[in-house]
Amino acid sequence: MHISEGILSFPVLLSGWVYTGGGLFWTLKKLSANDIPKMALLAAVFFVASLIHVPLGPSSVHLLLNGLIGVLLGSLALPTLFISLFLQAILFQFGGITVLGINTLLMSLPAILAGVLFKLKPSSLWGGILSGFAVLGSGVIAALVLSFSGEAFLQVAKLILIAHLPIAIIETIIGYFTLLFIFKTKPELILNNLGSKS
Amino acid sequence: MLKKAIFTIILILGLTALASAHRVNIFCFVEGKKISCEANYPSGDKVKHGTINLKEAETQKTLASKKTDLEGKASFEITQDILARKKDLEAEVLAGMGHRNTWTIPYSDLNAESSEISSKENTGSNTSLPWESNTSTPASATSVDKQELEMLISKIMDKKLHPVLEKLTLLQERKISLPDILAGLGYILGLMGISFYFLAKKNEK
Repeated sequence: MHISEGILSFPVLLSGWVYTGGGLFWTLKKLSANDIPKMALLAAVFFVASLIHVPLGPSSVHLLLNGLIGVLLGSLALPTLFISLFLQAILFQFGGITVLGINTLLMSLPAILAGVLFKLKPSSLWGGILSGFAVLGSGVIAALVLSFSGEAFLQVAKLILIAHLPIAIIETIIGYFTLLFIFKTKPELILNNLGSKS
Repeated sequence: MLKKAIFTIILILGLTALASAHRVNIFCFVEGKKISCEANYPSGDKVKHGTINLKEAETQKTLASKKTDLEGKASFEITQDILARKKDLEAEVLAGMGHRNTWTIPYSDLNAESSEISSKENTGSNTSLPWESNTSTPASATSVDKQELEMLISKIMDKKLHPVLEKLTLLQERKISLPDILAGLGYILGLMGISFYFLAKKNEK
C-alpha cells in the first residue's frame, strides 16, 4: 500500500510531510536507548515484509505488519515505519520521496491506534485482531488521501479494503502467533512498553 | 507450543508467494504505426484492466487512453495529430490504489514513422496516375520500386523486430536484488548505531 509519486496533489503531499515531521520530532524526543534495538529489528521486519505479496485483480498487495509494529512499539511505530518506507523508496522504488510523508502517515496512524488499544487489553488474541484492523485502517486512510486528489472515495475504499482483506486475515494470524510467542518467551518486551508512555 | 507457532508463521509466509513486489512498471516501444505498451509488477504479474494514458510529456495533456488487456498490454495508433505536435510523449499507467508509473517515448522514435507515412503519400500520388508512370522515364520507375521495396522491408522488419524490441524494453526493468535487501538491512543497523552514539553523547552531558 504505497502511493506512487505523481498521483497526489501538492497540498496533500505537503501536509503529509508536515504531520510526519511533527510526529518524528515528538516521538524521537522521548526516545530511550532500550527502544532502539527493538525499533531497528521491527524496521527490518517491515522493510522485508513488503516483499511478500499476493497478486489480486489489477493490483497486488503485500504484507504490511504495521499493526503488529504498533502493538509492540506504540507511538515509536512512526519513526520506525518512516525509516523502513524511506529505504523501500530509495532501494525498491516503492512509493517515493515526495509521498514519503503521506505513506508514513497512512501506515503509522492505524499502527499507533492499535498500540493504544492494545494497552487496554494486552492479550495475544486482541493484539492479533488489532494487527489485522490496522491494515484495513491504512486502506481507509489511503482511500481518503486518494479521494483528495480526485478519485471517488467509496469506490477506491471498497477496492482497497477488498484487496487487503486477505492480508488483514493473514496479519491477524501472524500477529496472534507472534504475540503468543513473545508472551511465552519474553513478556517484558511487551510489558515494558505498556508501562511507558504511549 | 513455540515450535508450533514458528512452524505456523513459516507456513503462512510460505503460502503467500514470495516475490519482488510493489511498484508498477510500464514499458513502451514504437513499432510500425503504433505504440505498444505493457504494464506489469516486478513479480511478473500483469496489470490487468489498468489504465494507460498517452500524454504529451511537456504539457501533460492526455491524447489517448486505453485499458490494458489480460496480458497487461495496450497499443495506441500513431495519428497524424500526434505526429504534428512534434513533441515527446509519455505513457502513464494507473494500476489502481495509488499505483502509477510513466515511460517516455521520444519524438525521434515516432519520427521514423512519419517519414514512412510521407513516403507512402509520395507513392500514392505516383500510383494514382498510372498513365504517367507508363510514360515516365525508367529512372522514376525504379524510384517507385525503391519506395515500395523500402516500405515492404520496413514492414517485414517491424514484424521480425517486434519480439526483440519487446524483450529489449522489458530488459530495462530494474529488479529488486539481494544486494538491495541487504543494503536496506545494513542501513537500519547503521542508523541504530548512529542513534546509540547520539544518545550516549546526550547522556554524557
